[in-house]
Amino acid sequence: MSFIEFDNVYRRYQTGEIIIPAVDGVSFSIEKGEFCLIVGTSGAGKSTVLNILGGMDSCDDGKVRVAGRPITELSKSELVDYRRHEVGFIFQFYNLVPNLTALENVELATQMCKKPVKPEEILARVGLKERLDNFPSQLSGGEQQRVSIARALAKNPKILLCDEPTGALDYRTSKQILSLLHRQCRETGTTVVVITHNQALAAMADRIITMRSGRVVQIAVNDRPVPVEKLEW
Amino acid sequence: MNKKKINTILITDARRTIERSFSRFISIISIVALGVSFFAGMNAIAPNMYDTVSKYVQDSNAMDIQIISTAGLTENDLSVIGSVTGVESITGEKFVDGVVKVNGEPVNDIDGSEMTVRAYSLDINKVYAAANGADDPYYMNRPQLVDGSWPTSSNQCLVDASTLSTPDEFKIGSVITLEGDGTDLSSSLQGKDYTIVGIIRTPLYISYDRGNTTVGTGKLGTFVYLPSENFLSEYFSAISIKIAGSENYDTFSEEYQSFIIPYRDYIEQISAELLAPRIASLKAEYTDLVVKSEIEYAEAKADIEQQLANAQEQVKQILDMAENGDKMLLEYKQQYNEKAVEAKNALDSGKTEHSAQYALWENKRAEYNEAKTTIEKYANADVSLATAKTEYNTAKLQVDSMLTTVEYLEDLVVTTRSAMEQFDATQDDTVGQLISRFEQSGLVGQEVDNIISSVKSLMATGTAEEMIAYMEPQLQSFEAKLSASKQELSAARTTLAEKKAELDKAEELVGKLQQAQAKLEQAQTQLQEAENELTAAGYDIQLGELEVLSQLSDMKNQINTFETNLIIAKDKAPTAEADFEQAKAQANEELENARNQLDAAKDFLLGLDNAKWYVNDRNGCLLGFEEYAQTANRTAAIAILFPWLFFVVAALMCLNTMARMIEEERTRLGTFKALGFTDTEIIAKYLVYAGLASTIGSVAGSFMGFALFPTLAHTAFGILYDLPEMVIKYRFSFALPAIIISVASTVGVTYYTCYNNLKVVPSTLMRPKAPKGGKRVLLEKIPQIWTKLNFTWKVTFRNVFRNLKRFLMATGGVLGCTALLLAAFGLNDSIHQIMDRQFTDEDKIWRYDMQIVLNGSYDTTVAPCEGYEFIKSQASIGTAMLEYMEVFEATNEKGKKPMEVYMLVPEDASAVSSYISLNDAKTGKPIPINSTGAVITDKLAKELDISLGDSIDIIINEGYSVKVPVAGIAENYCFHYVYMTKDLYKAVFGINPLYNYVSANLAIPDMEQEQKALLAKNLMSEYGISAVAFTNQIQDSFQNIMNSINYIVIILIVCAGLLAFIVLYNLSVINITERLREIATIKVLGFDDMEVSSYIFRENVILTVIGTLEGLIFGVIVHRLVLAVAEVDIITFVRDISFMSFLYSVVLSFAFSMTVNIVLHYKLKKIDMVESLKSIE
Repeated sequence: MSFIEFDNVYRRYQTGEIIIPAVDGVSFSIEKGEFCLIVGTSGAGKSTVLNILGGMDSCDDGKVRVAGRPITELSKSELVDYRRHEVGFIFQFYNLVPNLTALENVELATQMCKKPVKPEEILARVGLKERLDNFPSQLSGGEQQRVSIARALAKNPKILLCDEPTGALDYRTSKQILSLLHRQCRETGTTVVVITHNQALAAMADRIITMRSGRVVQIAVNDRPVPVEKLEW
Repeated sequence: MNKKKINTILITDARRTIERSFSRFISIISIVALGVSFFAGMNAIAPNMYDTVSKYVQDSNAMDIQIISTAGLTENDLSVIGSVTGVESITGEKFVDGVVKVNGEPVNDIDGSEMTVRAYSLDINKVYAAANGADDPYYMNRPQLVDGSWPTSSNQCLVDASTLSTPDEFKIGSVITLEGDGTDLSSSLQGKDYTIVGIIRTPLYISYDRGNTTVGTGKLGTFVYLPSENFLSEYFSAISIKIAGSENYDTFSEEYQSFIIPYRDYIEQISAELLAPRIASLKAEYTDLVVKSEIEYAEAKADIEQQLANAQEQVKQILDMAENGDKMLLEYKQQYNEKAVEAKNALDSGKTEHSAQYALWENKRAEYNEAKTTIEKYANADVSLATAKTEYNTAKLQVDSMLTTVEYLEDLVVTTRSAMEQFDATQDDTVGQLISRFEQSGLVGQEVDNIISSVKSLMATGTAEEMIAYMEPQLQSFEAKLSASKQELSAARTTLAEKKAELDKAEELVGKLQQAQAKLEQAQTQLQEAENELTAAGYDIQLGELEVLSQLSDMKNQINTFETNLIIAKDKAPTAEADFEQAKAQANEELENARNQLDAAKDFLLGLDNAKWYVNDRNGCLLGFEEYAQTANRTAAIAILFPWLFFVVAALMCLNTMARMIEEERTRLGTFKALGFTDTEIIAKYLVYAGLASTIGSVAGSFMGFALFPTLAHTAFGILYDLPEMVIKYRFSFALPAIIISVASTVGVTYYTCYNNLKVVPSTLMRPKAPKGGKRVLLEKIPQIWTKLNFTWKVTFRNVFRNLKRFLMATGGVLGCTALLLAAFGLNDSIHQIMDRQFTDEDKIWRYDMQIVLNGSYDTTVAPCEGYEFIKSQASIGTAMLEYMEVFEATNEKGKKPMEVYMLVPEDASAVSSYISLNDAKTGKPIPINSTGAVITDKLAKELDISLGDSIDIIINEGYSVKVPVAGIAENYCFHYVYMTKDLYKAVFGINPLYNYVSANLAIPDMEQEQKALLAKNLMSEYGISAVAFTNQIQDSFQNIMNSINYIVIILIVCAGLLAFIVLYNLSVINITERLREIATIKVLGFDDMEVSSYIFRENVILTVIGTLEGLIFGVIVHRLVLAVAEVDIITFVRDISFMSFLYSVVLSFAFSMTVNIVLHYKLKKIDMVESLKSIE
């Protein structure tokens, strides 16, 4: 059994009388410790898949299992628990709390989980040792995203879910961020799922799931992933 | 591009915006409505107050000018004044002042004194005519029926509607009794008892103040209206005048005053002419009356006094009997017993004597019996004697006959012998001789005869020898015979001797018998005597017994009678005194009544010289009219300040909401701009939105405010002012500025925000606004605290202080809420603390348990006051203090507006502290009252601007006042008092105080209500006591009035809640919308619902804490302002707010804030992470 399993998952949105199937019978699986890429165009349903996987959204049909646990059947409070202890999220727009410093933003996460990494330590790891006391507005986009990653990693999550983590960053910074994620995956064995529309990144992933119009069109397993530094796009 | 088309699209967009954000639209409306309603409503209070009274005065056809004359007013006065140019209508009014009882029970005024009342005459025909729509200009000061119905018969009445002045006992259906002050009102009123049928208000009394009277303490308690036929007086007490055209002026205006004053002055001017003839005629009338009455009075008095003296003697006897009767009865019984014993002793000694006597008698009887027996023993002695005598006699006879025989025979023998011897010798003659001898011998017998015959024969024949021979045998026979006879004689003689012995014996016996008989006779006599004595003794005893018995019986009867009398006396004794007192009271009352009437007539007569017309305009004749205007003014002053808080908060809220909306629609702004719309076109939508919301809100708010706040104030002031429904008016002059300011500021800010946003290029607009920079707060500079806070608190603090605008609004809202709450609770405190301080505290001011009104005034230097002595003699009365109390007007040296004060002069100044706490208003230390000066109460001092060492002017008569130095200013909350010692009083007033009140403390402070009633009844039965008021009753009356304020407190609490809720809710909603991403993020991070809620609520809590703290400060100020408006002359509100009120205000503020939080919690729960985090894709 795979670490993450999507079994014929449906998610429909209803607007008036029209029902839009955002996720339309998606099935795939991801192994533990994999660096997985979900690629697809805008509106392909990849964010919905990620949200369902992260316990932020529910599905209308099908099953999702993480480490054998059927998360689609969890209660609301179990989902909160799941998000709290097992999942780390990284957003395109970082979603840092503007009123908290970098350190405090990380503390926001560490304060509530069981075996947190020390915030200073994790921030040092993402290279922000010097910027602990800066507010998000005082940090660059890459730095903010690194705070965001630090915040996600600080919880020691089993899965790291990244929704377009480099979407708002420049090329160089994007590489740094992706490298950081890749390293995390390799060093700690965290399963990392990254959504991107950038096909060029496929080479660095262990598994590439391609989606279109709510369906999975292709699942490719890459036996020889290339470090991100070596990629060009 | 067609401009018109764009506009329609924009309008459609605007409409949709409203539809989609309907709650925001509504919230703007509600905020604006709240602010405007407060602003407009509060400002409308004062004008509405003026309008209400203006209308009231108009509707009730209230007089413009009133004339009151101490000499009464006549028809002539009426017609003269009526003919003055400009006088439209004129009516003579009658009224009588007295004291009132309800259902036979005395009623106390709120100050504990007797309830005084003014009975007005009411022409029922006019009432019904007016009710049927007639507008009779001569029907002035028309009362308005509040409850019940108009009278239909002359023994029905209408009473005062005021909650403050009207006693609780005045209920429809109750019967009131009107009496004079120590007199009856029979000379002024037809009836005495009247049934209450209706409750009315009259423009004569705008406020609770009922003015002054000549009866009781001098303060009028309440009024009643009686059908006019009850009034017997020919003259009028007052004249009401209406000036033509006065209705064209607002009664509160300067113009009205200047219109009326000339008339008033003119009438005053002509009054002297009218008054002089009236005074002259009255003087003539009353001088006669007084003289005549004085004589009648003196007669009546003497008569009554005599009757009373008799009655009192009787009572004394009864009491003496009741008291000593038992003892006397005992004595009598003892006497009786003694007598009985004595009698018995006497009887016994009599009996002893009797028995001695009896013994004697017995003795005698024995003797007698013995004598009798003795006699019996000799009973045959007689017979024996007789027999013996007979026998003796027989024997004697025998002896005699024997003797004779013997003698005969001897003679015979002798004779015969001699004859024979002779014979021997001489024979012839001898025979003759012999015969003669025989014959001569006298011997008679046969033998003799035989001898003679034989001799004779012998002689004749015989011879001597024959004879001798014959004789010889004869002799021998004779001799034999003689010897035989001698023998016989001897035998006879023996027999005789025997018989003699017998006889002697018999005779002895008879002697003895005779002796015995004599003895018997003696014994009998003695027995008789003894018997007589015994009988006599027996009679004595019986008589004695009878006498004693009858004496005892007499005594017994006396005792019985006494006992019966005693029972009756005892039966009567408990009530005898009371009965007598009652009779005495009644008699005295009648007498007093007569005296008072006489005195009143005298006073009237004396007063005629000073008789005067009082010509008053509405300020003077409609009581409370002026005060009402002042209250309205004060309210207006506060109304200017107070609503701004609401208004500013509301305006700010609106701005914030609009600003937020534009922020949210940033991208749309950019899009429109990019599409080529002009700035104006884009802005227009928001301006319409803001304009529409604020217009609707402010117009609705103004309507609400105009209806709500004046009514609220009117109801609150309703305690003080007896007025009809408030005139509610929509006042554009107040609404318009509020509406304009609201709309303009909202629209203005909307424009400004839009304009600022539209300055930048569309592409920037279309990107989300860069996150606001985090800001360090002051608290972070104190690492000791800051480092200890966890991150949620840190973020909370940063958030709270980051947005200054929001901070100010939120704290402002909470501040307003708390301030209102504190003002409300504080008001409640102020009012109830009056009660506490005055009545219930440990060191309360009125310490006495009861106040007793004496039936008259007593100068104790002349004679002790009976009523007071009686009170002191009651077992249930602990201590009592005699005092003089009277209402005066007082002013200061500068002649400030006089205030009504109670002057209190205790007989014993050192005892005052047991009845009244006189503590220095500032230091709280006890103030003694001594002769250096009077002690006055603090509010009086404040109002009259008197400080220690100044003096207070007590107005005795108009234009005549006395100065009293002030030596102390005492804490007090109800009424105004001037305390002074009797010496000071005498020094100032020149007379001894005439004591008329007694303050008393009960022996057992917590006496049962029934016992109190009993005590009161007992006291009231005493002549000399006319009213008894327990402090707790007075307290209850006050409490009732105070309780009506409670609901104002509730309304204020609701307002506060509304304010807090609207402000906090709106701000929180905005806060949440602004931070939707942040909230979604923390949700994604795994915060559960509670954690998310508290993340936000902490901010509300902090804002509430800060707002509340500020509110507490502000609340104290608001409280003072409210008190300033609400305070009444007679009452001093306590300025202190209790700790509990602070606590309640804080707790309630938090409760409101928490309620908002709870509502928000559900709103937060509903936030969808996915939706909220959706990036602008």
